[in-house]
Amino acid sequence: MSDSTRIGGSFRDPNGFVFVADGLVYRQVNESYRTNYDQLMESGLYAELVDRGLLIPHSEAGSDLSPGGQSYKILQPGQIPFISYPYEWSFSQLKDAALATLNIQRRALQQGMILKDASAYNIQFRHGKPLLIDTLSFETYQDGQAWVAYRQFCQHFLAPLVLMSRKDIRLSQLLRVYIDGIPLDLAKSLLPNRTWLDFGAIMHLHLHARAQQRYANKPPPPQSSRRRRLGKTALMNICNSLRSTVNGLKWDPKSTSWARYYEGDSYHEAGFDDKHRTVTEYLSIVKPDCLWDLGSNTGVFGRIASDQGVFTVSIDSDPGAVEANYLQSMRRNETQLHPLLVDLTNPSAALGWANNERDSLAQRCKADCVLALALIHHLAIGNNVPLRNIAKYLASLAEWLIIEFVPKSDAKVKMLLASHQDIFADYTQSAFEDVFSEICEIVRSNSIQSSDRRLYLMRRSRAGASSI
Amino acid sequence: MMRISCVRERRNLRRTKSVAKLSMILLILRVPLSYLDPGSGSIIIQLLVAAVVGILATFRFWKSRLLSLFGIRQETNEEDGDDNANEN
Repeated sequence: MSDSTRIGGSFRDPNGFVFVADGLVYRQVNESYRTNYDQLMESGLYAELVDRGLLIPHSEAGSDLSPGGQSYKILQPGQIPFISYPYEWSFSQLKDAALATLNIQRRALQQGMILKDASAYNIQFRHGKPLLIDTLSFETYQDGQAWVAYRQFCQHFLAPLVLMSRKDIRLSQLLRVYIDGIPLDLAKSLLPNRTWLDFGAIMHLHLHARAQQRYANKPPPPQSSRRRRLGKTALMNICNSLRSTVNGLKWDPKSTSWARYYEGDSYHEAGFDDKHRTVTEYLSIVKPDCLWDLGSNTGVFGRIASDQGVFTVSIDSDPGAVEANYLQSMRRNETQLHPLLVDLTNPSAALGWANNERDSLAQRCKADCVLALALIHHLAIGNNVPLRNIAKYLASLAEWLIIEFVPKSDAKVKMLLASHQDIFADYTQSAFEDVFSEICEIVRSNSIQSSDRRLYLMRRSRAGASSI
Repeated sequence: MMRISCVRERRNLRRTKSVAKLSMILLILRVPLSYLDPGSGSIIIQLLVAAVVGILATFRFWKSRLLSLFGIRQETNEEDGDDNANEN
């Protein structure tokens, strides 16, 4: 038996769990899930969902890998290059994940099964598309049963989507606080009155929240009952109602400043082309397998790597920029780019039970190269982070760094300093080079045409690695 | 004093009746054993959604049948359509 480590967040479902062995992720199916697993595989549902890209494919592995427990099967699922969480998704990412869940539920019902959970954390983006990664999410449909996961779907998907669409896009961040989705009474209290004109919001959120409050702490219905009130058609109707509600939700990102960044006057065309050329050249030297593009905006420069087949996590703090990035990746059918909504001044922390259910951003980093263009001034001047702290953080993420230094003479920095007293005497090109040289070797450095900006290719030194 | 106790009794009776009604509804529904808490309120609301959507669907069906009698065809939403980004 090889060394196996159970994943921290995989403990709720008694039918199995996820573990890592030899760097690969496996899923154990317990004896208690035997009937459901066999039905999933034999009914044709597994094949249908995998064929449509809605469920992670798997192969059955040897049971000697089992870290313990009553194992029926050990599955080796297709590996996900980067696990992301719903509070790191743009509006359309969460919407597509919700629609994927409903699509799966509909197809499961048609095949005599049903989703027993509808957690947004069970959906991940693989090859650019959302899919279900929890193979144990299905159970046999029993005639007349209610959808157990309905409440979870409304809390994980519908409430945040309606709040983002009808109230404020930033409310997706409530998912960071409420790990099991936004409580419906809170969602109801935040929603504007005009949502009382929307059938889906009325039924699934407003009245749902009221029903929850009214019938709180009442006993669940017994299993032994014979009569039926909810047939398969009724569940299909609920599913269709949720789907049309989700489909009707829109959010227009054009109001945010970053989504149109490159259309403004930040760059002269020559400077932009020169920067593009230099970044391409640096990437050809590094040849990364995984790139993290920090402060990516709409992902223009990260796409140099992803278009060459390099898996790229494209991180920005602006919901509009991430939305535009995701919509573009969908339009271009991109498979190697993962847009991500993260504020680097407050990156995702480890959350949940024992701070071990959801990993922090840094814990999930497998990048061998970080691209940080036009970012340093936002961290150093916009957020008062000393250059040395920035250097240590970036060098802790990856061995290779491609960094653009934007000096005080640049229009963007002047804009930052317009309403800010200049207390940044150390923010100079030479100070930047000195600080980064303490932990990195500067491999290449080039100025960018038509600007005072400078690009650097750096590699973390051995001494630097030990000092981080 | 008499009046107050009468009001209280009536209120208690109403409460008992509503609990009894809820128990009846829950008794006739099946909820499989699950590690998730489905929430009694969430089950009740599913009954309501299913009923309302069912009535609307029936109404739409008969409306289209009626219109087709007069040779009027309506654009219908494809219920089984591919609504997912995966399948675009």
